[in-house]
This record gives sequence, structure tokens and C-alpha cells, in this order.
Amino acid sequence: MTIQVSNSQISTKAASLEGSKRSQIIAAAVLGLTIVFAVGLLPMDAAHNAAHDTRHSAAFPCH
Amino acid sequence: MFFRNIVFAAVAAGLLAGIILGILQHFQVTPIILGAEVYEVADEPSSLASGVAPSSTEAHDHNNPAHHTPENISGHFKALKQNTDASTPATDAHIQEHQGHSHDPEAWGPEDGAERTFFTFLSTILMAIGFALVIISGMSLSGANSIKAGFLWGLAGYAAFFLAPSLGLPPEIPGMEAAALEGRQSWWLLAVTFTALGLGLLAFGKGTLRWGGLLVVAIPHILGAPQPEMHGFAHPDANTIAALEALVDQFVMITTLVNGVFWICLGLLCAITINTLFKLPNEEPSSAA
Repeated sequence: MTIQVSNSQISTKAASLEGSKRSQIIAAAVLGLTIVFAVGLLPMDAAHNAAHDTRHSAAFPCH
Repeated sequence: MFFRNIVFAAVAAGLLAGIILGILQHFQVTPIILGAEVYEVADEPSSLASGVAPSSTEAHDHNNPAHHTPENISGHFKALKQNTDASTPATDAHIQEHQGHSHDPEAWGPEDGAERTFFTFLSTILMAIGFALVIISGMSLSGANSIKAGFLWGLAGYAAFFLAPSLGLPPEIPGMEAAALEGRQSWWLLAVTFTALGLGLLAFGKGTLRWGGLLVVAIPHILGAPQPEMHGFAHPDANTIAALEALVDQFVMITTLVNGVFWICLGLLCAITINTLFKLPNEEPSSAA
């Protein structure tokens, strides 16, 4: 049995895979930035106190 | 699949680089912060001393760094607070400074000693994992995952997240005069975003657009970082100010070095993890940066 798939179908599938890959990469970057901003900039006292020395060391604005 | 592998690779690279940074910080950076905090305590209003009995004045010898050991520091706060009802605002400010620089004396903060060290390591490792996620995402998007690309991404991260913000807002030790926090945080975000965008244009831009990256990198510095009305330290004692200024110079030098080492390690480790432990699926053949 042969399955015939047109070129356009292949390219559509490739494009959607490429799109999915791209959105996953962007999701990972957003997750990373969220973590960095939580450690470095979150104004909550508990977050500030826990990460105090890290913020000073990495030159995040502190106090 | 893709997302999972990026996260796993970033956790592995961030964990290792974060431990390296944590150790460097612990031995090179934190001692300077603690040293500055001892002087910060010495910034005692004279009205406070007058309200304290002679015996407790002796007990609260703020110029003696050995006095501020993790063991006696909590009792020290209580004694201060009991002895100085007349100058409550100053005392509360004093206590806040010692309890990890909280804005609210009731807020939770790690105890000095092992607990503070633990939370510093934890936050450092988390931060490193966050940075690793950004680097690996960037490497995947650009399609370059060689060791050389990792090294260059590490340098770019160092420039965007440390060097550029530090040019306007140099690394600070506790007790330094500074402009309002919100303004500095906004400028920090501006500097990081524009440096990252500008470097992105320089690295991946086409034609003359690429050189626009230089302008983008320069914009936050042309606008200028918020500056305090007065630089340095508001401390009555000239000797203490001299000591603190020496500490600041040392702090800027050490943090610049330590963060440079960290970012290069992080970039290299990101490249290594996505090429070995957590290969990204359907990766195109690696190309140079």
C-alpha cells in the first residue's frame, strides 16, 4: 500500500512543527526570565530578604 | 519534547554554574557585604547611645565586628529595642538593616549564618537556571549550539545582565546612598532589554540594520541611570566612610570578576548539556556562532 502525500501537505506539517518548536522555545525563555525577575526584582519582603546577598552580588538594584 | 529538553538542560547547566557562583560568592563577595553591614550598624544615632545604660553600651560595641556573630545578633536586637523606647524610629531602622534589609521588621528573613547561606545558594542557583533557560532558548532559536556559540552567549549574557546595568548603577554594598528603588529597577530593566536587543541586532542583523545595534545598546546610557542626590555614605565618621569606600572598590572589582567567570561557565555548560545529556530533538547540523 502506498500513501501519497503531496508536497504542500509535507510543507504544512513542517511549518506547524517549526511553529510548535518556536513557541516551545519562547515559552522556555519566558519561564527563564520570570525566574530571574522573581529572584532579582520581586519587591515582596520575604523574596527580597531570602535573595538579598544574591541581588547585591549580581548587581540587581537593592534597598 | 523540545520544551522538556530545554528545561532539563537548563536545570543541569544552571545547577552546576549556580553552585560555582555560589561558592565564589560565599568566599569572595558575601564577606564584603557582611563587612559593610557591620559598619552600617555603627551608624548609630547619638540619641540612641544616651538612652542606653553604660553596661549595655559596652555590650553593644558596634565597632567590634566580632560582636555581631550569628549567635548574639537576635538578642542584640531585643536588647536594643527594650533599651531605646525613646528613639523607636531610629532603632527600628537599625533592626531592619540587620535583619536582611527588610522594609518591614515583622517580615520573614533568613537568620544570619547557615540559613542565610542556604537561601543565598538557593536563590543563586535559581537565578542561574533562569539565565540558562534564556541562553538555551536563544541558542535553539539561532540554530547555533557549538561550544563557541555557548561561550559567546555567555559573554552576551554577562554584557546584558551585568556589565551594561553596572555602568549606570555600579554594584552596591549595604548602606550606600542610592536613588529610589523603583527608578533604579526600571532603568536596570531598560539597560538589560536594550543591551540584549542591541547585541541581538549586532549578531544577527542584516546589512546596515546590524549597526543600529550599537545605538540601541547606547540608548539607556544616553538617557542615564537615576542617581542619588548624594553619593557615597551618610555616615558621621570619616574613618568609617574611608573604610566603606575601600570596601565598595573591592566589591565592584570582585563582583565584576566573579560574574564574568559565572557567565562564561554558564554559557559553556549550556552548550555542553544540549550537546550531550539533553540533545535537542530534530536539531539541524550545528553551525558556528
